[in-house]
Amino acid sequence: MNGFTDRLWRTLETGAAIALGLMAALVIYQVGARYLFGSPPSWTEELARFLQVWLVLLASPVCVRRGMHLAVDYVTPRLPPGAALALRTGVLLISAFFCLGLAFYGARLLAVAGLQTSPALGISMVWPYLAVPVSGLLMAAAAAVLIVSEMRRGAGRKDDGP
Amino acid sequence: MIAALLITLALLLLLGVPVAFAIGLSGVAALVADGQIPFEIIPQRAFAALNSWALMAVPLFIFAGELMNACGISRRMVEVVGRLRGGLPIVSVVSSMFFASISGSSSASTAAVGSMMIPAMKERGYPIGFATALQAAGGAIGPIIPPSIIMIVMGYVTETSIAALFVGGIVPGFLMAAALIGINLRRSRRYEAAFAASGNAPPPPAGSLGRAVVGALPALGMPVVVLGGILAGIFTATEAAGVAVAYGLAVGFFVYRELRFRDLRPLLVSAALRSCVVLFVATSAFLLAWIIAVGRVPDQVGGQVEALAGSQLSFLIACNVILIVVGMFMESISAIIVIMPILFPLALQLGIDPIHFGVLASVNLCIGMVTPPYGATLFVACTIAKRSISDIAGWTVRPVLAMVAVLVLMTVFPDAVTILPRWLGML
Repeated sequence: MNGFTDRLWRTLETGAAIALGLMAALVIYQVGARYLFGSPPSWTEELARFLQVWLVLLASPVCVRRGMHLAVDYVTPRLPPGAALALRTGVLLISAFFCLGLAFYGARLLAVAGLQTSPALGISMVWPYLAVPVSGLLMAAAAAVLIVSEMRRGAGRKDDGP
Repeated sequence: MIAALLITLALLLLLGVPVAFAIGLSGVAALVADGQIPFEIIPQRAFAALNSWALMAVPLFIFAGELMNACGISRRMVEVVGRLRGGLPIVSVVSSMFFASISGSSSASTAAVGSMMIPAMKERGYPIGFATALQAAGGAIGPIIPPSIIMIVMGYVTETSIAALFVGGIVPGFLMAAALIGINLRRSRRYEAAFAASGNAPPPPAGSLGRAVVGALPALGMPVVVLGGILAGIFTATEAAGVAVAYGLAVGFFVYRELRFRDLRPLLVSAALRSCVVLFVATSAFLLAWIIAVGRVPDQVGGQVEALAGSQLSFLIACNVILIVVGMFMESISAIIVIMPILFPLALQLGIDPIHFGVLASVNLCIGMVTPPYGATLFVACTIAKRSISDIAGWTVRPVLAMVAVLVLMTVFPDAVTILPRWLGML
């Protein structure tokens, strides 16, 4: 299980890195095209924007897993260990609940997105919108992995997460 | 209804729910209370927020900063500035400014410059608290000097020109650096004299200044190209960020030759994750702005604010106090997302210049980076100095007061911010 999830996070990191690399290449190409040849292509900006959506939403589950997402860390450090553990677990449950909702309603949104095509590329809007439910599910999964490791720690077993 | 929402939001934030989720959940509460609008609006707003050209400057500048860092730019920069006379505090502040003009991130510039300057100051007999607090303040000037992640998010949330915000930060940034150097001149002269009298001054660094300058030139050229392009009106902020990446790649691969193709993956991953942290919070910005619009907060509060605040100046003073307090407890990007949708429409109603207000708010949040208990750059500087935040807290008073002095100046004289963008025809 751990081997599988570790591979999953690594795959997501690679996906986000590729999205960033392509995005950078597109913006550089667009600037070059505008100032060197005078005519920026119409599709580069749109594709770069869609890549940004995928970049953030693929990286986000990894950030959930590593606890990188910005939060106000004021109460937890001031609690006794047992209560802090319970609060962290509660926060993760709340987060997972929100992510599942995001995935569910994001998936329902795909039906609407399927009716639209993007103005410049002419592709179905399902492709960029798909990132939302995919990311929602993966973020919920990342929160679940963390909840399990918190529970284990709570049960006095050694945390085997990285 | 809106009060219940804001209380829910505050409670979730206090419990430690990540900012983006906390805003999303209060959005859910708003939808339940409203009963008319479908829940699909939440994923829709999140998508629309990320589908943004302006916001793209964030990942690109972060990536450019990673590239420049990977090819040893901070080392080369300190090699140059470290030879200048006049004491290490000046070196620390000036290096921080240069670094900020490349990286756009306050924590990154505090870490890069501080890891060299804090031990160097300690070695020359400066008190460790003095060095740490000064470096934390030097790093916090970073987001005021362009390019700046904070200003990009500020421009995005308030829908003002990011280029104009960048330019508006130049004069305040230089004033802050001058203030930090100014208040420490006498002290640093005293520390230097005591050190010289102790008789264990180290030999001057090997190698010539000329060679160090030549080595650092390609790195120093980056702000010239990027900022020059923005100032001359050639690039937008996002285009400038793309140019910065291209410049970083060219310098890393062809000039310094310290980058290899296989280094790119870890740099891209690190930049992607750091970008995600900023942009994921920004995702919820539209949602919060929408909740506030639906709740008609500006209409409700607006009349009272005009009655209460009376003049622009007293409103700005109130905002300064609110933002400094918020900045003490909240990280700056989250603070912008949570506070600006409320304060910004009120500022516009009172006829305050949007660029003036945006830069002023950014400066406030930067001061919050130096103040205990949760200052971001203070935390980084303390980690480098291996001291606790409470050890250094007392030393932060002087630099923070110097920054506040500049803030007061900017509050009273909006020209300090707007003169440069107006002169360049951006306003």
